[in-house]
Amino acid sequence: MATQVQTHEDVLHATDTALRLVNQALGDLGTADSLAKIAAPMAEKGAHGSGSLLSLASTLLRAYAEVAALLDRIKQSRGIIQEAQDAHLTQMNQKLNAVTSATEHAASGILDGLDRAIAVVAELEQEAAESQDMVRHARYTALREELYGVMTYVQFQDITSQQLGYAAAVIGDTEKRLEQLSGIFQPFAADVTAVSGTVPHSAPKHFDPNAVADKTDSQAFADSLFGR
Amino acid sequence: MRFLVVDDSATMRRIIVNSLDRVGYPDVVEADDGQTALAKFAEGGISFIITDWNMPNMSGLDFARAVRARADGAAVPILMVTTRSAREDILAAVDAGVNNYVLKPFTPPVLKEKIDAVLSVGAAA
Repeated sequence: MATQVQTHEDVLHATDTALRLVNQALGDLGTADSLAKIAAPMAEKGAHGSGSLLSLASTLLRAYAEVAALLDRIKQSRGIIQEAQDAHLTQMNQKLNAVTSATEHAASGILDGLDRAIAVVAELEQEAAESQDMVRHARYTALREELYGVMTYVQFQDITSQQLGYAAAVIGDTEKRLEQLSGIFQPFAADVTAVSGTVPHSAPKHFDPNAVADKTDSQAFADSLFGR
Repeated sequence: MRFLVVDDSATMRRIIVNSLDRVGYPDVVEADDGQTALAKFAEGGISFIITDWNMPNMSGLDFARAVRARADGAAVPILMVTTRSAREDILAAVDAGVNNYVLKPFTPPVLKEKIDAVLSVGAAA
C-alpha cells in the first residue's frame, strides 16, 4: 500500500484552504454583534426551558471569539514574517553584496600596488646588477619574490567571494520562501494557486559553497588521477 | 604559445595572467565565462586553456566539454583551476576531458608544474 508523503507545500496549501473555509464560515455567521442578537432570543427562550439552545449560542460565541483571535495572531505572524523578509534578509543580502564588491575593489587595489612595487624593485634589481652590487641585487630579487608571494595570497578574495555568494543565495532562497509563507498567511487573498506553487529555486549557482583555502588531500587525489 | 584564461573573477584572471607571465608565458587571451571563451577559442590560435569551474552562463566543465566536442578542440590542453575539491568534481573534470587540475589557491611554481606536466604528456603522445 502506497504511503502518501505530505510535503511542507501540501501542509501550507491545506492550511491556506482551511483558513479560507473558516473565513467564509465566519462571513456566513456574521459579526459578533449579529451573533449576540441571534443568541439573545435563544437565551430568553432558554430561560423558559430550552437550556441546550442557550448552551449552543454560548458555544458559538466562544468559538467565534477564539477563531477571530486566531486570525489576529495569524495576521500578526504575517507581519512579523514580512518584517523579517523586508528589514533583515534584504538588508543582509545587500550587505553581503557590498562586502563582495568591497573585497573585489580592495583586491584590485592590492594588485595595482603590487604591480607598481614589482616594477620599481625590478628597476632597482637591474641597477644593482649594473653596478655589480650582488648583495643588493640578491636582496631585491628576494623582495620581488616576496611581492609575488603576496600576489598569490590575493586569491583569498575569490575564495571568500564564492562563500559570500553561497550565503547570499541561501538568504535569497529564504526570502522567497518567507514571501510564499506570508502569502499563505493572508487569509483574505483571492487566488489560492498564487500561493500553492513550488518553492522557487535559487539563482543559477556560479559559486562553490565548499570553497576553502586548505585542500591538500584533494590536490593529492587530483595529482594521482592526472599522473602528477 | 597563446593561453586562453577563463575565470569570472577579474582578480583571479589577473593573478593567473601574472603567474603565466612570470613563468614565461606572456601571450594570453582572457574570457570571463565559458560562452565568451568558446567564441574566443573559435577564433583560433589558442594553444592552451586554463579555466575556472564556477562561472555564470557556461561553467568551466561545460566549456571543456564544448571544446572537446569541436574538431579543433580535441587535442588542446585544458587545465582546470578551481576551488572545487570534492572527489566527484575531480572525476567529473576527468570525464569532461580536462588534462590536469589545480586547486585554488595555487602558487606560480605549481601552475608551471601542471602546465609542464600537460605539455610533456602531449609531446610524448
